[in-house]
Amino acid sequence: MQSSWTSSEVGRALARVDWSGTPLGPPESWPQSLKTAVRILLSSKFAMWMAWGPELTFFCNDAYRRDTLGTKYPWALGRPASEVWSEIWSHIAPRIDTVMSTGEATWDESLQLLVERSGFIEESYHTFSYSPLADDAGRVEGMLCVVSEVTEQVISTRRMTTLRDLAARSTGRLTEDEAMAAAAEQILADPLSLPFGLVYVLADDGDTLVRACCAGVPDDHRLAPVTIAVDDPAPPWPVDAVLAGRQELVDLAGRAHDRPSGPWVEPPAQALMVPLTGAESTRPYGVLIAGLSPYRPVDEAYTGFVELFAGQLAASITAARTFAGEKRRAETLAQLDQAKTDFFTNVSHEFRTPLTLMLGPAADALGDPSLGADDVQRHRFEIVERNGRRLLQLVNSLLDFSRLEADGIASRFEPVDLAAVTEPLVTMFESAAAQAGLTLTVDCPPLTRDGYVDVEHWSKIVLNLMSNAFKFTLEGGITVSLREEDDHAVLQVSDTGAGVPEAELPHLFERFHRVPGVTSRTHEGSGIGLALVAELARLHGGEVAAASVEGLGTEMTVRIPLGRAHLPAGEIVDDPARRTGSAGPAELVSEVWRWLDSSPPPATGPAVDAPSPGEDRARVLVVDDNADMRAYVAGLLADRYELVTARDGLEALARVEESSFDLILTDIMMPRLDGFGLLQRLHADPRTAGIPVIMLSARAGEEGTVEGLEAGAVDYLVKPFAARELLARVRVNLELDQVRRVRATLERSEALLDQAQRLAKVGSWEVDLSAGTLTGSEELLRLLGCTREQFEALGYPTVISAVVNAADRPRVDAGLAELEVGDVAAYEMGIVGLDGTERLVAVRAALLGDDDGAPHTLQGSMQDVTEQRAAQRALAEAQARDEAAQREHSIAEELQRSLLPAETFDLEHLDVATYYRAGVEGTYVGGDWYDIIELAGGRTAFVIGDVMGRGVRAASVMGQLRSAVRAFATLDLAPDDVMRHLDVLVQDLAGDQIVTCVYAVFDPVDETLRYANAGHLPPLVADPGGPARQLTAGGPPLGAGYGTVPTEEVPLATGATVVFYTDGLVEHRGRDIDDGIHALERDIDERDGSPVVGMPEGIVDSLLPEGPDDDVAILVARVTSVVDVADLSMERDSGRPTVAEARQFVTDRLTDWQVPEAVTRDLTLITSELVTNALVHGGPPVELRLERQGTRVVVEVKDDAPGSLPSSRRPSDDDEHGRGLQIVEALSDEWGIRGTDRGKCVWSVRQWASVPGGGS
Amino acid sequence: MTELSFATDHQGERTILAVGGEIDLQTAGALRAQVDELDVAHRTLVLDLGEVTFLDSSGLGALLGIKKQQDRSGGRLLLTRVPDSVGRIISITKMDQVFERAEA
Repeated sequence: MQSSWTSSEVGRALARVDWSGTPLGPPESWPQSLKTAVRILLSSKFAMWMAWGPELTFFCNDAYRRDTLGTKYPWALGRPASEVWSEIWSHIAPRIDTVMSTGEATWDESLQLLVERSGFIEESYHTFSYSPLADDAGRVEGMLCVVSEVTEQVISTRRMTTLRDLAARSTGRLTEDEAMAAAAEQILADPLSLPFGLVYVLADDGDTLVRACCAGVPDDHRLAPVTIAVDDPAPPWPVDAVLAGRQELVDLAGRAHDRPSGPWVEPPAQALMVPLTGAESTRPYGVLIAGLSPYRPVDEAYTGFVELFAGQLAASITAARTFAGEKRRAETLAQLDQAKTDFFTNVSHEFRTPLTLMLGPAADALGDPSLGADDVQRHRFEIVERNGRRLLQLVNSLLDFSRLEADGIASRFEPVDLAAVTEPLVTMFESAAAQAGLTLTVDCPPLTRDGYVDVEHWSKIVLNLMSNAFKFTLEGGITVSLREEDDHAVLQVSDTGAGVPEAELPHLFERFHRVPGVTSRTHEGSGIGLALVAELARLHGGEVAAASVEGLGTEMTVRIPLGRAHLPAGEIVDDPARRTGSAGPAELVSEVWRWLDSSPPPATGPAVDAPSPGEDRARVLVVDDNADMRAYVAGLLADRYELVTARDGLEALARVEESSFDLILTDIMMPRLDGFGLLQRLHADPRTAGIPVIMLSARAGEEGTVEGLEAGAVDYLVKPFAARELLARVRVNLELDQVRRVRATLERSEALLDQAQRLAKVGSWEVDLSAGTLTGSEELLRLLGCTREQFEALGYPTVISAVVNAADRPRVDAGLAELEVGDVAAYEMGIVGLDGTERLVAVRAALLGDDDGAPHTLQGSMQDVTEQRAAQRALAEAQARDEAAQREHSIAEELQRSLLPAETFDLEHLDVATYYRAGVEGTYVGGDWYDIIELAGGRTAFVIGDVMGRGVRAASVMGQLRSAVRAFATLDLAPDDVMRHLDVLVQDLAGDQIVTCVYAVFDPVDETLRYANAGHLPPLVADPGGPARQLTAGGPPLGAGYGTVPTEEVPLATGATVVFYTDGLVEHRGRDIDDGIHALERDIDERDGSPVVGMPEGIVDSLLPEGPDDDVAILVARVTSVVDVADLSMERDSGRPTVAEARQFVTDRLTDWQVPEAVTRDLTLITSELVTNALVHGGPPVELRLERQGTRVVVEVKDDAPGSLPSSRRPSDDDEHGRGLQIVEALSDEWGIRGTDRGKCVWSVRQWASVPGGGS
Repeated sequence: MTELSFATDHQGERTILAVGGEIDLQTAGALRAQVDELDVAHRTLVLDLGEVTFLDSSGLGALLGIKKQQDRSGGRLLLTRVPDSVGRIISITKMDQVFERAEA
């Protein structure tokens, strides 16, 4: 029987056991059933062990010995099983008891058992079954265990699960903290693999590692400090080596007292430190410290798992950082946009004052009859006028704001006679002040010593204060003084304007601050002027203060120290060409206006085209055809980047050919090759395709912005832009580009590819270069859409030409040809499968060599990234488009809202109501506008117009036209003159833009409307009770450049209504425009007598019941009945001269009302008679009232005498009395008497014929 | 303007009273008082109205009162340097025939 044991090694060992020392006794005496069981055991190739007898004596076979028993062999043979498996006996004893007592078999799958078989306790997993063994009599005497060890499968499945879960938790947009939390969660979820885990990330200073994740270790554990200094001489962890890029296996056994304990009884004996790396080439930015299970051997599989964990973590940190960067950028851009919007809103209004001031003298010159029509000077003045306007509008916004933003104003202080410099600046306002009816007093006596000022800055201070005072002073005057006080120069500008509420005074000098609700010459302002004054005063070591009494006026005081001690020595110019007020006034004016509203770009520094050899500075190429713009942009960037400039796309390509660039900034409109062309050419060349390009587009709302992003520009900037914004965009894009590169490298890294291959389906392929044979995986064949036979028949390299896109083929061929043994190439390419399917695939190819290093095998993988890339691109495009559209819309909306006048008006002679709605909700705003301007002599100008087109462009043209019309109106130009000027302006501003416009002036004195209509729909006029009629006269639209628009005149008497409107009201889909106008006429007829307030809304409701499709602007004005009223009450005991007082009152009022002198004289006499009568017959108090309606004045005198009608009898020649009413009757057009609640009222009316053009 | 101004000049039979200011209800009395004071009942009174800036029916009544007083006492009243505004009132009230004018 024993002979059968010798066939196996264990059998031979069993034979050597001293069985007599066991309860079983010598084998010869064993029951047959035991002998049979042992034979079966020994002959089985499955791992088995068995136990027999009262002590459950242990037997096993070769397979079990090899797989499980380890170093316990051969000691275990013949021993009690409880002794052999003492370490796991507590787990298995209950199972054995069950088998022995019930005779039923047990089944355990993947039971974790900690066995000690390799010199240490080891985590192992076993699937096993215990079955009963019966003796010859059928009693259960032993048990047989068939066991299969599954440790490898269980451990690797667990690790894969951890990696997969980490990957799953890290998808989506996590912040860095969330990525860390996900890592901590996975470490805690798998303590058997990772008893503890720590992550340290380098702080921004690069000197400190900061703990970012701490899992499985108490927060205050000595091995998990919150920070670790990189240069710590005795760090808790050897971070130095890891930061140098190496892995470190750290033995923890020596620190028994402070090892973090895991889930195991024994704490981890070792920890693996793995660098967290963004890219192979750069320094690691962090460390993962993973505690290793003491119950698993530290083999390649284990360290590989930790590396993959670190790789996954690094990928999500990189993604998080990229995302955080993008988010920061988005937020920065949003802030910049907000600032820009504020600017747009405010600055467009600031044009009016300078416009008026500049156009005043120019118009004076042009209106000078001594200047002949063909005089060359007239032509020059026209050019001055036109271009001055353009200059202000275009250059202004670009430069002044950018300079204020940039905070870097360079000064040049020179000794000057301040009085001589200041006075001419003030007197420049003389003609404007005269035109506005203001007095201008200048008091600038010479100071005892020179002041050190920057003349440009000083001029800005003076001009801004003057402009401000001018703006807020409607009557009275402006006084300017310059005095010396305590060794300071003190400039005071006082006005008699509206004043500033006390609560607003502290904010007056804050940027963009505007005092709300103040009466001013204009409702608008940018809020920049006074902030600039304060800043410039500070630059001079001085200060500015404001004092104001509401309703009385404002006094602005600027104090700057005389002398030079307080100024930075480097900015003092001692021997300048001494400046005084002797500069030619014209020169000074133009220079000064340039200073007031804009500033020249800062000096760009020497030779931007010859960059100094920068160390690590990014290289930026600036492409613009405008030399000034080029120098400006280059000047802004020159400090931080190495700069090269080019004049157009072709020159830029030449520069790119010569050397490499990190970023290109390009204008769009350029000769020879424009920005889009340049972008296209750069993208076509794989060497330059990766250079990020920022486009500078000329105007907001230009289609180019979206086009630019679609064409592949990484960003765009709309001119005008702030210096700070340009710098921010350039910096962000350079950084982003680096992040993009790092991420690309990471994706290509070996570790992640391995992981990707396991997690994703990737096709693989191999070429035997010597045999020319080709093999590929099933997935690869699927990607290529071919059968294995087709694939193998193609062979290499034919397969490349068969499937790779023609456009990508040269690049792929070149890439493979350059490949050297040991290299790995990674690229993306388009393929067309043999089944016609197009895909974008990412390929990795490695060239392997034979023993001599000669190329032998080319192998690699291919992954389908079509959907991934398409989704990325679509997302980016959608975001970019959305962002651009959103930005444009909000700018345009702001712009338009700010350009339309307030919705309520308080005009003396008119009831006015207006209406404006953008067409369809959410679409671009349009170019409709209206305006109401109060003119001298109680007259009112109405403007309505339509700039064809929509969006920011139309809105901005509209804004400029509106400002211009306001300026012309202030100059009191006739309607045809206004149109003539506008026509020129539209041609200049808008190219081929067409603008329709009506400019109409209502004169309440002669009750006429004088208007000029340039191609606009006819305004409607309706007399009370009469039908509405069209004012059809007019000329061609503006901007067409042909024909003139005449001034027409129509009467507009008390109660008459005039309606101005834009085409959106009457032009309706499927309806003739004339039908629309007729419908409007009928609607107005029906509203005869209804109040003006609410009328526009009512008109829209009835004409467009479904709401407007297009923009609609409506302006309704009605001449109100009572024009002017004045009352005088004469009390009893007010002294004797009551009648004279009444006469004086009448004379003064009627003169004010510009009533003709003869009429005033007669009415004064009539008043004298009526008041005399009242005093004689009624007695005081006597009330006198004057009312004027157009060319008609009523005098009413009320007293408390009973209402007896004095008869206009003819007195006899010697009757001394009774001639008063005779005179009244003779001089009045109508007169009469009526009873009142306290007595009677005698009234008299005088009318007169209007004098054409009179009254102003 | 509320007080009348007077200047008197005796030229033989004539007493010339130059009046300045506005003659109305409240100044007419002053004019009458001034004439009374001159005591020209039997003489020729020439009223120089060149400096009168205003005259209404009350003023006219005063002139008529003076005229009647002169007529009654055997004297005369002549008007000289009559401003247009005064002349206009005289003509409106059809008193052109009542007042005699003296050549200036």
